[in-house]
Amino acid sequence: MVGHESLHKEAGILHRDISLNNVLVNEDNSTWPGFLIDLDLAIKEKRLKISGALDKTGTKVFMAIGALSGELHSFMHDLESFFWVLFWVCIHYDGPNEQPKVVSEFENWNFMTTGELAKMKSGTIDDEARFMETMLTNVTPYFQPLIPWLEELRMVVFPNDKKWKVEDEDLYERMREVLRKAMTDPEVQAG
Amino acid sequence: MYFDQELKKELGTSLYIGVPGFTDAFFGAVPNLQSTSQAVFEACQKGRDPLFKKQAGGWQGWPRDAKEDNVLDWFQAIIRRFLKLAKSSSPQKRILRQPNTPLANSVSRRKLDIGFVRNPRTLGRSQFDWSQILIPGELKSNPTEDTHQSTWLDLARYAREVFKAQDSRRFVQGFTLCGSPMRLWEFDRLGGVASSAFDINQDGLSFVSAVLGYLWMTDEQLGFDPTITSQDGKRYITITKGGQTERLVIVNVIKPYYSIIGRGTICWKACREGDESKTLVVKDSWQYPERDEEGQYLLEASKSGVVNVARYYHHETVCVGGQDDTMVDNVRKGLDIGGAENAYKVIARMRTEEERKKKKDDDLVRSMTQLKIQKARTSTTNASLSSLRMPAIAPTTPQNTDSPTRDRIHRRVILQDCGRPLYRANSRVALLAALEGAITGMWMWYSGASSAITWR
Repeated sequence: MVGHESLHKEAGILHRDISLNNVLVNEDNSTWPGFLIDLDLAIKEKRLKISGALDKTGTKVFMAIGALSGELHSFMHDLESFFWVLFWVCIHYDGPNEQPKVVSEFENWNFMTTGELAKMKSGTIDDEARFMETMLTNVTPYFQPLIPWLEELRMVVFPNDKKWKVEDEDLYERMREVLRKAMTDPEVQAG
Repeated sequence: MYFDQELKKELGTSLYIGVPGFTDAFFGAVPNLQSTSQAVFEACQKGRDPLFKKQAGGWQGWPRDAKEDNVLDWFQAIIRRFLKLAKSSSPQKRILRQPNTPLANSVSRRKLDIGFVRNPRTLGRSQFDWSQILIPGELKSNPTEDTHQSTWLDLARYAREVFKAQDSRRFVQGFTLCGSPMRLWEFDRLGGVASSAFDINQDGLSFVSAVLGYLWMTDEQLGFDPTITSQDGKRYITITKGGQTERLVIVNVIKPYYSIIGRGTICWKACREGDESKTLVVKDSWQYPERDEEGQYLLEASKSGVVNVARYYHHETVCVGGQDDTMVDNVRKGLDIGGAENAYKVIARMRTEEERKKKKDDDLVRSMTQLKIQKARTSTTNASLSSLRMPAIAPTTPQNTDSPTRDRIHRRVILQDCGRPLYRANSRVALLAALEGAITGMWMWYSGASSAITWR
């Protein structure tokens, strides 16, 4: 991992469309367990900065708060999107063979303006007690064992209950660590 | 209903009517269409009991009330007459008529008024579904409905159903017939374009030409992708990899597309012909040409050993008719929408005109209408196909203020990994592992792959 900083500062490619449909589980176990598809929104960071365009590409409900507010794209947004993907799965799916549930509270997220959704999302993560309340009310029975890990992930992705202000390259490692720990949790492993 | 709202929004700035050159673009490649239509139309006007007689109001048997059932009967009969006159032995297509019967497999119980379908070789009246509709049509009885958005939206809905049910569609042609004004349409990933309206009972030749054109168009001219073919019950995608032609067998469609405008991404699960062990994912989409190619990213990423990003197999720009498959030049044959008018602007203007009209004196209105009728009668004596090329409605604003529609290009990317969506993971642990893998992939992509990609 040495030398990342200079590399991506020179020619960064960001994914920008981390969403529920782009993160796949491999059907063939001999290769990696999960992977990304749909790189057609991938973009070179440099170009975006030259054009200076505010960038609001990406599937709305999975977009990072900052991306919804029109910030220039950062890898931090992509990492945050993974949090929202897990959040969404745990609320809408009650097991691998179940149809997604319609949860009106979150269905609305699809129809808000990006500004409204940014506020809505901030309000969802900026208070531990409220976040836990939301999770306990909405996470499906199948994913209940993941609630503590969602909370752990929230604390990593939103340090001090706020959206990040400064890019942090360690976030990637910290998120993986939470996920790896979660995988060894007996509660998670059961069933 | 939500989807209807979406469709309206999506098409709001992307429908153009009275597009000059429309018939050349979409009917021009049908061999001998112009000369045969001319000959058929002449034959229609001959004899003791001519099929077409302008002084008598146009086509024989045309139902004045333009009621749907009557129009369908008439349409069916006249097609047979045209084909006989054109000495066309076995037409590949025929008119489908099943008004008020929702087609099978439509999500929203859409009723299709009329449409062209392939002439089934097998006997028996099987139920038609959207996968068989070649050219959808919309019938309305009132001529003013030709410029109503509800008419356009109805046809656009059919086009969307066709796109959804037919994964190898590059574009969909269609038509509206509102009383006797007819308009020919084409829908694609940029939106919809239409010819000027023509009155089939005045401009009989344009009608003959449209009908024969629709009947004789090849699959490619109808909007099917010729690189996707069927043979012995199997479907194939032909690619050119390393200078060699290679056929992939389609296993199934993974991801159909649900709207008209946009990237129109479709994914198929496929395998190499003769090597069914290895699964491939073929992804077709319509990208902005200035956008960097995803396939190139993937190629470079796979070369530099990035993990957890779908592995590269091949990428290409789809070629149709010997050309890169682009919307503006290849699908629309360079049609210039600058000479046409945005359909919604037409509506807006017509509304204000209607209001203005209402204020006018009744007598004046009556005399003006009469004048208009006379004018119409005299001006259409030389009706021919060329009237189709003229915009029916001249723009009121000097120049179209809409931003010109951006082009899109048909890209194909083929990957070696086939996966299920994250939420279909067999266990919670598998789901977390997949998520971790994807994060790793994104990070590798972000940091590692970028080093392999040089600026050009």
